[in-house]
Amino acid sequence: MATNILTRNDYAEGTAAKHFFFSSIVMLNIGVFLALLTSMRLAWPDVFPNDIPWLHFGRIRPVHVHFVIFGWISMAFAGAMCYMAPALCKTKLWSEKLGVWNCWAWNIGMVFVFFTLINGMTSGREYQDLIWPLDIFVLVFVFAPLAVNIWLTMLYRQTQGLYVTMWFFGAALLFIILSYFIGAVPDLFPVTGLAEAYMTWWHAHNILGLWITPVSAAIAYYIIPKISGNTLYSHKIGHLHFWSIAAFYSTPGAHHLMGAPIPEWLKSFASVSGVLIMIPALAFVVNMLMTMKDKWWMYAKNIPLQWALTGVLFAIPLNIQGAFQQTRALNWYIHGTHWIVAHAHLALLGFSSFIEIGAIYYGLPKLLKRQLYSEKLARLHFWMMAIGFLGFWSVLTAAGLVQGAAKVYEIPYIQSVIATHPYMVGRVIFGGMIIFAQPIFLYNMWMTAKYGKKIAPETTGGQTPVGATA
Amino acid sequence: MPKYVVGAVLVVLVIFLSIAITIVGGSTYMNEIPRTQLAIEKEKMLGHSAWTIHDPWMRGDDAPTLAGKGKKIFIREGCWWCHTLLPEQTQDWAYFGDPPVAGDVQGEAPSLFGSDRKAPDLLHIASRNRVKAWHYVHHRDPRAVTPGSIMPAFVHLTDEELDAIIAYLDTLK
Repeated sequence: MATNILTRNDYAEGTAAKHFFFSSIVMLNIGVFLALLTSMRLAWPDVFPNDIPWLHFGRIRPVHVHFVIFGWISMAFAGAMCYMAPALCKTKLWSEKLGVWNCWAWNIGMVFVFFTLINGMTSGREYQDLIWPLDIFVLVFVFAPLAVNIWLTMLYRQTQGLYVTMWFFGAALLFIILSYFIGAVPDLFPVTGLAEAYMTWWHAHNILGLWITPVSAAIAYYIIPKISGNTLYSHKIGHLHFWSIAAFYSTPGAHHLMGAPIPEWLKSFASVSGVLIMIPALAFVVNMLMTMKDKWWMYAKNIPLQWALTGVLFAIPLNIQGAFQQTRALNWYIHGTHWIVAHAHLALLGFSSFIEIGAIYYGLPKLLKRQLYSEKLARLHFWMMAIGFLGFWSVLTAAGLVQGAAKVYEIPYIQSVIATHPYMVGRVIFGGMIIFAQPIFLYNMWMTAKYGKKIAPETTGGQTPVGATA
Repeated sequence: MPKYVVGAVLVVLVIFLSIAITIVGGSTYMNEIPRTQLAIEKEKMLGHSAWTIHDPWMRGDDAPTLAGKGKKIFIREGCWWCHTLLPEQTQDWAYFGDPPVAGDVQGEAPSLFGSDRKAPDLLHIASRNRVKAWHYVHHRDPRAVTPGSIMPAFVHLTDEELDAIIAYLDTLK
């Protein structure tokens, strides 16, 4: 391996992953706290002083979205990549230094994100809300260094083949850079009108389809075989999952614009490839559940496995919803309602976050070489989040159906606002359970780092899941 | 050729193919849609209303008209997180009016269709309500004129900013 300033006298192994994991937990706490403020605003619009613009719904909402997607989920991904890629490639991370710098640049970026969005500096395009200098910052200082680090780790690997997780890590990093760039095109070039809307939504969909979904799945592909001790059920199904994600998940962006005057062929194209998302979804779920064969007793016992498998189970309703709600037959009824908000939270909070929290409960104690500080707190965290999330999702889905019905029966809009008020109160209550669970997580991980019982380092470098090189 | 090279080339091919079909195909097609009279008027009035490389400050000072400043404030305050500018399909059209035709939004950025509707669609608000006094009161104290509304009370906006927003709403016919 060539040495340069980034790889000479490198930090200890795992430093970057630890930085990313702890940052992500802090970002999660900030992100969900902002969610509490917005949900209270929807239930009781005058609950905070109205003369403070920072406390207005329209200002906080994009900050919440960016903190959970780019702060919490993406940083947890980076931590998981910095932890799992060296283990699966039987080598060191290419540069721990680059990883740590990447993490700090990322955190500084999130500070910029907070202060620009909360002051209303925005491009006015959903999921691509950042102003153009920050778009460039995200590409150059957030995703590019992470991609370089992981790709070079893959290149200098000591194994012959690559495990499924690594395919997804490598490809998703390419996907997110491309997708983020295309999303930023209307900020940087004079693209207007329908083309601008289409690029925005193509990117908005692909943050989920080509970044969050594949990387969450990749993490599950690592920790579920690893903890259960079973080999992965089928590498062939893994191939199917990977290729069908690349082929079908990259195209359905137009389903967000079913009501807009974009070309009909583009809508049909999006709709058909949207239904085909069932293929990678089923492949993933079947592969994970079959891997658990004869080990289902561990679902109740093992904390990281409990989180990850719950995330996998949430992928079933998520993808059934996702595949069919974007067809024209259903889209006109639920588009723009709280149903969609529930679906988005099922993807990011149910499916994705549960898997990442599993990865942190699994990886962080190992990186710290300490035992988890408190299993009881971890269980409390799980049940608060599981019950809170299920309640939250049910309440919002019901509210969405109320709004859909209000559309069909052409009642004055204000009636549907009044009718959904009880659901908005329910959203605060169940959302509050999710929100107050996160400081417990942070506390537990902090105490693990400080006072967790020390464990002897593993004698062999056998971090690779069984059957990983097959 | 090593296997990973084949794999990497295939991944790149698949993703670029999908980009080519959807982004390049879609955008080229859509860029060629001719502008309607409404779009030409709106472009003069609103211009590029958000922070793009052409227009680096969100203050609204350099917007061509009062309505243009209003659109910037509409974006800055996040009105579009609840008020869509795209009536949904079928029954919704009866209440909120016709959806835009393809040429109507050309030349405008951002398009602000919105995705998450928690408030009435505003695409044709000026056809329903052009009473300035109502809009003033509604922005300062929404629940005074619409009991049950969950709209934030925008007491921090100056009178000039409210004028601009109302001028923008007036362009949405």
